[in-house]
Order: sequence, then structure tokens, then C-alpha cells
Amino acid sequence: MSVFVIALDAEARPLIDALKLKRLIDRPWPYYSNGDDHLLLTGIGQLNAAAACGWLIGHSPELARTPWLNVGIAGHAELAVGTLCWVERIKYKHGDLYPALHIRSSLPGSLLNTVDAPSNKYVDGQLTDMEGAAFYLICSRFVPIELLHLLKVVSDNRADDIKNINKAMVTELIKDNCTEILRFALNLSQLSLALPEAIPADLDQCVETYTQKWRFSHSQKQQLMKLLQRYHALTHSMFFEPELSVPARDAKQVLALLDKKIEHLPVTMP
Amino acid sequence: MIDTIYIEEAVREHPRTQAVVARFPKARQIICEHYGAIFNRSQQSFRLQKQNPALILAHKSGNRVLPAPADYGIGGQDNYYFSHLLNCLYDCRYCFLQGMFRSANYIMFVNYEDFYKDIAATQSALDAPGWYFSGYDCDSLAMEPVTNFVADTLDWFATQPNANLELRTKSTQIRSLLNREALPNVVVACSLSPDPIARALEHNAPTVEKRVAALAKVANAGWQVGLRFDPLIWSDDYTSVYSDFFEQVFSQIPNAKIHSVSTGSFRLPPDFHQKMSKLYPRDTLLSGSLHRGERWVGYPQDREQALLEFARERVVAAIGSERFFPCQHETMVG
Repeated sequence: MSVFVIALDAEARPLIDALKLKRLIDRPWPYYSNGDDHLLLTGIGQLNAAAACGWLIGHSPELARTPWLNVGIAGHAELAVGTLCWVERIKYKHGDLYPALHIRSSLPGSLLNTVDAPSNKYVDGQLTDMEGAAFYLICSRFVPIELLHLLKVVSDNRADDIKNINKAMVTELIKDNCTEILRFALNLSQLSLALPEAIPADLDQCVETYTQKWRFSHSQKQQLMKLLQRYHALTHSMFFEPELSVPARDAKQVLALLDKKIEHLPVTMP
Repeated sequence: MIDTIYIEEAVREHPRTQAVVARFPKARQIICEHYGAIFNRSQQSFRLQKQNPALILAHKSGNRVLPAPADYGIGGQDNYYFSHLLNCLYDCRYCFLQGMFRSANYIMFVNYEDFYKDIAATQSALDAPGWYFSGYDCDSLAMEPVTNFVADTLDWFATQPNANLELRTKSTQIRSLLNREALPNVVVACSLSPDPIARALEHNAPTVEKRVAALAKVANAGWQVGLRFDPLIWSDDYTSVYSDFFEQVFSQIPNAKIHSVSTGSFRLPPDFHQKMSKLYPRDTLLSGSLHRGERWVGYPQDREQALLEFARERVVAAIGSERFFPCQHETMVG
């Protein structure tokens, strides 16, 4: 399960086909999904990448627990056309950024420089693209950085000029690396299983049994949720309101009763 | 064991950097300007990183030798700690490092000689031999095959009879100790918990049985050893759990070689506890009944006192009170 963030349709096509993704939304940005995997077409440039990612996370906040991958073509001074690279460092005016790789991967790493217009001024040992830095900066606000990566396929270099790039070639370059890209995404998905456990599914329903009966202020509701989560952690079950042994006058008393209930739970090592 | 090594530009050519890199020829090497760009950034998940931490090789500048918390001592008056390594190979659920650091990556500061220089300078200002604790932000021995820290540091402490060193560990990496003659100014201290607690909370650490056996070997080789029963963990059957445990430990470690025993109950600064609870929302230790004070989150006073008193009685019965150093609330445990 991953979110692929891609600038151009020609770059996205092999992944759309391989993952059997369906186009679900046309505007403001084309969005594809098969229920598990997701693909966002951002258009070219940093502004588009940033805006599109911001829109998607607003639309589907649950994706903050999912790996996000920026996949696309990039120029490189020396590497052969068709080489798939993992971006290990991103040039940034306020200090370089370092994507955090905590899975095994044998892909070669490279420095990335994100520019605002296509360029054939190659710098030794450096990838050049037009979205990467913005993708990383924006997505790192809502996705753990360990799940945020950039994979770039070299499309041009000092020997193969940028002018030779065309749509069909771009699609072929991504297609040739599709298996590796999907393997990387799968490994990240496995890593994401180690994220802190999500809030128990029936917590909201449980909280409602209390809020329907007593008036809770915002902070009291937060305390109630914390207490119920603690109870769940210790007993693996939810504590619904009817189980309160003593009738409570108000929210404050409910919280005190719950606190006492937790205090008296038996403590044994798992 | 290590797939990614970040190397600060400034230590690229350092002999220790070269040695570590040579040990992991397949690891990816990434050059960085300063370790802070990797270790201190926001939006990191300690829990994800712990699955496969990277190693950062860096230079430690600034304060390298710091005063230890008020009750961290084991008999000396002047206590300091220093950290050649940040973070730990093990994954103990009670460990404050999870609440203190944003990153689970290991940082190895390769400029050991600067630490020695600072210890010597600190010591020169003291009237009595000072104590220098190395296992506060890391495990002193667990990564020895990578760091070579113990071997190197013992060479230096062998020349400093007025400075005492404590190595604190849960590791069984004792080869560097057994390979040399014991030093009178060094204590090898082992953190121990009863087996059911260790199994539940001290993930990836050697079993208690193995730790005790390793410490016994170290003691039998002539080293002074320390026993650290910290944190003491509450369970409703703590008396039977800890009774068996103390018997196991004191029957295997030669009494004459025990330099010191310390105890402390489970406690964390509130902000660390909050951060750790978010990391492990379903953990029973962190979710359990804890008293939230202004400076510490820990067991309610009655439980804490019961645990500490029970441990005190057993320890004093085994070794007397002169070598017993209870820690109260000023220190944290890793």
C-alpha cells in the first residue's frame, strides 16, 4: 500500500497498468487508486507538486500512515540513461535534506537538485528534477519521514541530451524499472506496520456512550479518550458507559471513576 | 547489522571512521555536513527507525563531560557522565532515550581523545578521585565490536589511577574485558531485571541468565562489578518475582567482587512519558497506573516505596549496606 506522486502521465502509465489503478478523481488533480495503492498526477514543477500533495492529504488524511513515493525521470551528469536511483540527499537553500532509509535497498543513492526549468547544465554526481524538493518538504509535514522517498530514473546525461526525451521513451524508462519501484514500495509498506498502533476502531463509538449522557468540555473529552485508550491497552477491551458501577453526576466524576477503575486493574507482566 | 552509515564531512578521514566503514563494506555511505541534520530533524518516527537504525559517525564538540544527576553516584563525591555513543542496540520499553531523542539512529562520536582530554581536565580540578559514567545515553559494551570503545578507553583509564570509570551494560560483549588484566579503577555494571520483566520489556537484550553468566565471568576475571536493579518494575506478584531473581543473581556473582548495588523505581520526566505513550499507545507499562508529578511520572508512592523497601532489604541482606546505593528521583534509566 503506497501513494505514488508523479508529475506526468507518461511517467505514471506503467504504474497505473501494473497496479490496475482506476481514475477516481479528475480535478483538481487526477487521482487513481485500486483501494490499496494510490497515484496522484501533479503536473510539472514544485508548486504543482506541493499543492497536489497538500490537497490529497486533506482529502484522505488516513494516508498519513502510508508510504509516499515521488517517482519520475531526472537528469544526471554521469549515470547511464535508465538507471534507477534512490535520492539520499536533497539540495535545499536552508540546509540539505536527508531522506531516512530504514529498509534494505541496493539501489544506488544520489544527491538531487530540484530546479524550476528544464536544464542541461549537469553537475557531477547530481540528479536534477523539477518536483522532488517540494514533494519532500510538503509531505514531511504529515507523513513520517521514514515513509517518504524519491526514486528517479535517469533520462538524460552529458552524452544523451535532454532534447532527446519524448513521452514514449519516458514511459519505457519507468516501465523498465517498475518491478524495482514496486519492490521498494512493498518494503516500505512492511516497515509502516511498525508505526504506533492506530486508535482502536470502536473508540469513537465508546466515547459517544459517555458524551450522549454527560456534557464534556473539549479538554474533558480529550481526557476521556486518553483514559479509554489506556483501559484498552491494559485489558484489550473498551469500557462502555453502562459498565460504570456507580452512577456519575457529571463528566468530572466520570473521569474520576474511570481513573480509579484503571488504577485498580491487576498488574501482571504480559 | 548496519545498512546505512552517515559520515560527517569533518570525520571522513578519521581512522575510527575508516575502521567502522571497513567493518560494514556493504553499508551505504552518505556524507553529511553535521549530524544534527539527520538526528535532530522533526517528523521522525523513533519506532520506525528502531526497525533498522542507521549509524552516524560524527565529531562531538562542546560539553563532552557533564555532571551526573545528584543521586547517580556509587560512593564517590564527584560524578560525571560522558557519551561516546547515543542510543542503544536494545529496545527497552522503559528507556528514557525514546522520550529524549527524536531519532533511534546511533551516533558514534569518533573523537575519543577529546573525551579523554576533557576527563583529564575535569579530574585535575578535583581533590578526590572522580567517577566517570559511560553508559548513560547508550549501552557501554553492546556495540563494542563496532566502536572498540571499551578497549580504547580502558587503555586510557589504565594511565589515570585517580579517575574511576563505570561501564554500564546489558550486553554479553565481554571479550575486551577478559582479554586484559582487570583495572582497579573500573567497575563493570550490569542492568538486571527478573526474567519475566526482561522478556516483556527489554526487547533484543540478552536474557538475564546470559547477562548474569557474563558478569560472573567478568568478576571471576578480577574485575569489580556493579549490579543495577533499576528500574524496579511493579507487578502484583513482585515479591515472589524479585525474591527468585535476587537469589539467582547473588548466588552467581562472587560477593567479594561486587563493588556496588543500586536500585531505583520506574520513573520518567512527564514530557518523556507523554512522547513514549504516543510511540507505544498499547504498552501496558506506560498505560498503567502511574502518578503524574510535576517533575516525574512514576508509580504511586505506596507502590514505589514497597518496591524500593523490598529490594533494599534483600540487597542489604546479601551484601550489607555499605555497598548499597539507592537512586531516588533525580536520574533516569535506560
